[in-house]
Amino acid sequence: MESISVKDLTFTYPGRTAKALSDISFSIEAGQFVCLCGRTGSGKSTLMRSLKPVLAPHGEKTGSVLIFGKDMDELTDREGAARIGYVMQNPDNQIVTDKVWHELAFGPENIGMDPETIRVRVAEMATFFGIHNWFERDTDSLSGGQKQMLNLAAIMVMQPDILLLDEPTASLDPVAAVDFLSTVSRICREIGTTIIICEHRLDEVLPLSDRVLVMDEGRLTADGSPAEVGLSLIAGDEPMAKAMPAPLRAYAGVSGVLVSKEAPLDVASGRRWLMDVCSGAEAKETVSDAVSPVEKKETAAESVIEVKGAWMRYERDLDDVLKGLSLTVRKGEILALVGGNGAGKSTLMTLMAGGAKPYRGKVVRSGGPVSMLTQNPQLLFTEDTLEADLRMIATNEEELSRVTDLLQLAPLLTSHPFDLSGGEQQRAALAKVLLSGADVILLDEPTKGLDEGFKEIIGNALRSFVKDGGTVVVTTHDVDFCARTADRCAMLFNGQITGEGAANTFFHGNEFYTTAANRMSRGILDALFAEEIVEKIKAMER
Amino acid sequence: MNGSAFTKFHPVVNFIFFIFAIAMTVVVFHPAALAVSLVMSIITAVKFAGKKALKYFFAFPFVIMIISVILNPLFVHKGLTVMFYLGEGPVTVEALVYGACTAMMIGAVIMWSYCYSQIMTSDRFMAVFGKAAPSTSLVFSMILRFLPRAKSHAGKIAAAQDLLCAGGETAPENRKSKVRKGMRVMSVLTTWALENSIDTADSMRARGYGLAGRTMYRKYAFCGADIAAAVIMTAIAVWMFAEKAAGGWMFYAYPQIMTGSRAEAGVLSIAMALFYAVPFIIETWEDIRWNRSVSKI
Repeated sequence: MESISVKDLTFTYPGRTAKALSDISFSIEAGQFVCLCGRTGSGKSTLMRSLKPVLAPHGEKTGSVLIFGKDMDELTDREGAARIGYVMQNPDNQIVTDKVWHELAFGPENIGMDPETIRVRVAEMATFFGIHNWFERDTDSLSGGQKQMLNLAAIMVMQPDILLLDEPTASLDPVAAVDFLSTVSRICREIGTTIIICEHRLDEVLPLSDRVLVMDEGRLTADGSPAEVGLSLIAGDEPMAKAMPAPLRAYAGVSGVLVSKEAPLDVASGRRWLMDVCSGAEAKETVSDAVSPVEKKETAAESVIEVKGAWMRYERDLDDVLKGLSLTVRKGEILALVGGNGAGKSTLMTLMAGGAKPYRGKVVRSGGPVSMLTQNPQLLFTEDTLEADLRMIATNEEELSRVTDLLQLAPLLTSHPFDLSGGEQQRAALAKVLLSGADVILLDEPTKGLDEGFKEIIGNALRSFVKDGGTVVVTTHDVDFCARTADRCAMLFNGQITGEGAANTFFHGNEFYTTAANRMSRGILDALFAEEIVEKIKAMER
Repeated sequence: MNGSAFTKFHPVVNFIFFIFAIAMTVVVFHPAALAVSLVMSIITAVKFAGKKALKYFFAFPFVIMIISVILNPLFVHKGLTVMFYLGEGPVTVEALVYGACTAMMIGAVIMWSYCYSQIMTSDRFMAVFGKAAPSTSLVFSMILRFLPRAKSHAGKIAAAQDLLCAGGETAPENRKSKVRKGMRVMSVLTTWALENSIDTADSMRARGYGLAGRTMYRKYAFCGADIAAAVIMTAIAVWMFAEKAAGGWMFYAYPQIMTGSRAEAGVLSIAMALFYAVPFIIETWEDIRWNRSVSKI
């Protein structure tokens, strides 16, 4: 049975000539897990919204959307609300009520379910999602991950046939994101709900998906199994290719030479494939080759920020967040701070920027002005257009045009900062930091919710800033970004620095906290990136 | 607050209490009544929320009260009993007393509102008004949820803007730059609020809000205790309003302080205290019951 079938859907926003969606046709079997991907502005959100009755954008529409064989416009409001669930990006804004249990009951109450049924549904969904432990809590007291889980559960109590998720993990940290995605996958497998999800974290989503749809400029450009679509994107060198999981990229890179197995999507299958490829004595040789790390400059440059034995807590009765932490930031480096949630990364950054003082220990700043970018870039915008906003902080015209070019912001200058997408806001906020005239910049999670293209732009901007004599400290959960961009990495755990070293050697030593390509090739080829694996295999062939 | 005994009563009973508590404080503007109301509001708040309530009291209403006590005699020169002259203006006892009364009223109203927010969660509010005015009641409860969020977001905006230009040789903050910064924060906050409300409205519509025939997950049955509490509270409140109309709560500050008989005010104050004590008595009664049941184990 087809749960959704879209035929020749074309859509134009009022007052625009360009089509936001053009001639889109596909149909999805009930119970399929479908990943919809594409670059920012490719029309993903428009398509997602077009599939949900009350959220469908207004404009000129031709073609049809059938939900279980029935035209979407003919669904009653009640059916539209109950049968098609929609989860949006921002966890906070979707919550309506002040109690967790009431949020769960909100949907069923609206569609007029009788209280006995609501009670049963709420109870079973709370248990399915593991919400029963915080059932009576205030919604405001939940973490971001819990909030998004609640939003999902609040929809699932209505027992929808179709679940649409529009970048649901963009503002979550990786641990919460993985947790959320695996719950979505469980819903698909155990309840049989049809899932369509838009995601940037393709590493995690693709292995879960039955099928991938790719959009570009309002058109559907690819449709098929994850491996199929991924390989064709990589072969065509499409912009989305970089976003594919590392195992698949490595496989695609050498597939011309060695096509043996099914294309690997996750680390485990990637490892099996790599072992097959490298079985034999010659692999051993390459191992010894690979282990010698690339030499990075390890000069004793002067320090710009020095944290000496800092102890920090937020309130008297709370636990210490930093416990006698010491760290030196050297001039001209990109230092990456990695570590789990609550390890104290953001606190350490605030301390270095001078936004807070340790109650014991010292922070010495000797490298000129410091500027820090907080996790939520939206907090920084005050003006009505991005241009006005940047002008407010820019010292001169040259700087302004240099930075806008560097971060490719020129086409966005006339937009309202709040109308930009998450990734665009992140770049715009980085522009403000670069324009602030600071010599040392501190960036808290600058790559959150960004796709690969944007990450590269940000990485390049940081490199060029450092080349001009600046210093960068960056916290990130994104190990791949770290390995590509940083000179030095420091790992925070439990309020202390537990490991520190040049980026290359640092990740080679880690078992879990390292890139997917490294996890896949550990002990076999020991590479950090998919490209490196490809090179090494090719070298081996010769 | 979860687990509070007062919340075991029907939301209508809770609502009647708070409406009358605040209305009586404002309408019966008499020093004795105001003092009773203020003291009981603080005791009740502490009973509901613990030490946090005292912290809140001294951080917010108390400051406003002090200002009111000081400012009224400085700016209002009505009244016959002059204490001293400040420049040209006479500072009178009457203006001081009136300022103190206003202060107590403000303090009591704020503290009763604080108690209200501890008890009347959105679902309880909707249980009172949901049937009659579902949209209004939901919008109201959303506003209540929005205010604390906006406050904390404003703090985050200010901090983020400071950190953007931290550590440099920034000019010391003068009043002008502070005002400008405040305006900036407000402007960002407004945009943020508008953006948010669009998402929230979408999320509500997506889940069928506004369809006819809304039901309620939690049903609240009216029982004997509810009826008794409602009747007692309404009776006392109506009596107080009637007395006010009949002149029993007489109090004039200007031109000279004038009150009715002390004995009458005393009796009325005790009755009023009884009204304000309803939640406190219910909570304490529950504590006693709990202790007794524990001692049996």
